[in-house]
Amino acid sequence: MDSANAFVGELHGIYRLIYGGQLSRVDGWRMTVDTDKTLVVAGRGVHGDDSWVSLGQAANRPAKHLYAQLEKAEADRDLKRFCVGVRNPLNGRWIHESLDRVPVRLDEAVKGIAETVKRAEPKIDFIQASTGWKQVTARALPLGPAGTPSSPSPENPHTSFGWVMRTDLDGFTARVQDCLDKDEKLQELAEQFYCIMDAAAQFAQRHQETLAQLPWAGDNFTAAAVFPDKAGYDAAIPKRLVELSLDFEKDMAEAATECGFGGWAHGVAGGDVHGNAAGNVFLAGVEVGQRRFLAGAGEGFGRSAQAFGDINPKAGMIVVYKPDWERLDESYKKVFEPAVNVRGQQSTIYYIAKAESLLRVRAQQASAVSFTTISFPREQPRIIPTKPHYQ
Amino acid sequence: MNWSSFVYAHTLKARLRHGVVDSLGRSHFLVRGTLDAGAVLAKIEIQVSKNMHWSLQNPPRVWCREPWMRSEPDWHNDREGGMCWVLENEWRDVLNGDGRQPRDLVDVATGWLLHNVKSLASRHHYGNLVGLKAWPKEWDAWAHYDKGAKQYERNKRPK
Repeated sequence: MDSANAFVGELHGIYRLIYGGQLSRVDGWRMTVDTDKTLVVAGRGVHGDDSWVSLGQAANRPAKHLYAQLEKAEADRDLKRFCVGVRNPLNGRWIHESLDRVPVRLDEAVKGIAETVKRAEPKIDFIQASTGWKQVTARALPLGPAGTPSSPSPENPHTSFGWVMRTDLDGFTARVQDCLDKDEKLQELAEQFYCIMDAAAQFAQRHQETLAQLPWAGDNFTAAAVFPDKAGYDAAIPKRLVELSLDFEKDMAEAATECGFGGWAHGVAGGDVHGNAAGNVFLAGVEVGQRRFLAGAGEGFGRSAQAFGDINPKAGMIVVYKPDWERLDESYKKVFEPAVNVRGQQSTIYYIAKAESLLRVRAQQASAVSFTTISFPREQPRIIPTKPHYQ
Repeated sequence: MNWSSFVYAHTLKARLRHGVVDSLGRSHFLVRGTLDAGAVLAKIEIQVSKNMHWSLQNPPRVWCREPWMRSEPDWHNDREGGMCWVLENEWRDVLNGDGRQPRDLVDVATGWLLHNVKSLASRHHYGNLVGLKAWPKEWDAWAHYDKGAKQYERNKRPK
């Protein structure tokens, strides 16, 4: 815990040095801390970005505690800005204290980091959605590499219309806890997680929508489905907002269950696009040296994360943000019901449905009467009903 | 083997996930892979003649052995014989016209086969999901055996 406190102090000190003079740009920060063993694996994603994924209770709990604060208005949050929440391992309670009371020992090396960041002016490369280097497939969002000079600037960010899909792997944290202190089992678990990460990268590549995959946050997969214009986004929402999550289930359920996990829980949000906004999804590459960490901003990112803190859906459940639910096709819309939050109250902003029930609706639509259009050059196209024939 | 049949087998393969083409002796290719049928993924096998002319007269045989596929005449599927995804006479009539280029024939034959197989697989999948006992009347189908062919010929005649 001492080293965790020291790290929190140093991080807070660095932020103060960087943002101290320009707090108008950054309203503040809050931190959460837990200490225990975790399983750390190297992230693998479709865009080749660098991330480390920390897995286990001690990695999950701080994120959940932070999420739980997001559902409240700023004034009602227990964990205030410039405060740190530290979990007491003896009773599981969170103790909040001012970050300014945490001892800050900034040695020359740490000060050097802050000075470097200040000089470099933290570089946020907003991703070009239509052109760029390393086009993995037609369907994965083409991303420029770290240091691409043509990247739009923070003052003129590139934005897209889209929604954010998050999925959480059920039962993974419990498996990590069971394996801690058993190296062979941990190794096996890490291999299984690599298989899941690879399968998820394939999903991001093959997909109908253009997907930007964000780094794994623990066992949480996040992708933004982006559209070049609002008309495309508006046309996709009624069905594809749900079907993208069903596609994830279709492609990834087997990968999860084969590895002995319970399945996936989903949180989906796009949010309202106001007035003449040029988009609602903002993607940036935060560059440190030659390494890049993808980050996303916009209502969809916040609300889809909040869905897990607020509703905590079980595997096989899909939670959708109310403004998006309102725009769904009636066939899907009627399957959802208002979600119940973790305190047992009916949520005013989330709707929930079983993926299995939504799949039935989709399967019914897929089984409906259809036609094939046969089209040869220089001939009138023929429309032929799809009729099987037993012989 | 002619070139078009090779292209046909490989075009089908390219439209499947994890598609592979094997040679079945001198007469056929066997294309295997997973078809994305929208609501479900279905592993299928397609037997394509190495003689494209034969394929234009006789639709390739297709099998889907997913556990939710029923083997019943009314469900247009037979474990041994495969999926009854098209009426042979219609296939023959539509694909055998004058002046068509081999590439166009391959494209049409690929699209038609996959569309119909997807439709039939989707109906089996839905039927299994909701526990349908009988093939619903609203799902169009030709009558079984020769009756279906006669139905088709009757519909074809100018009225």
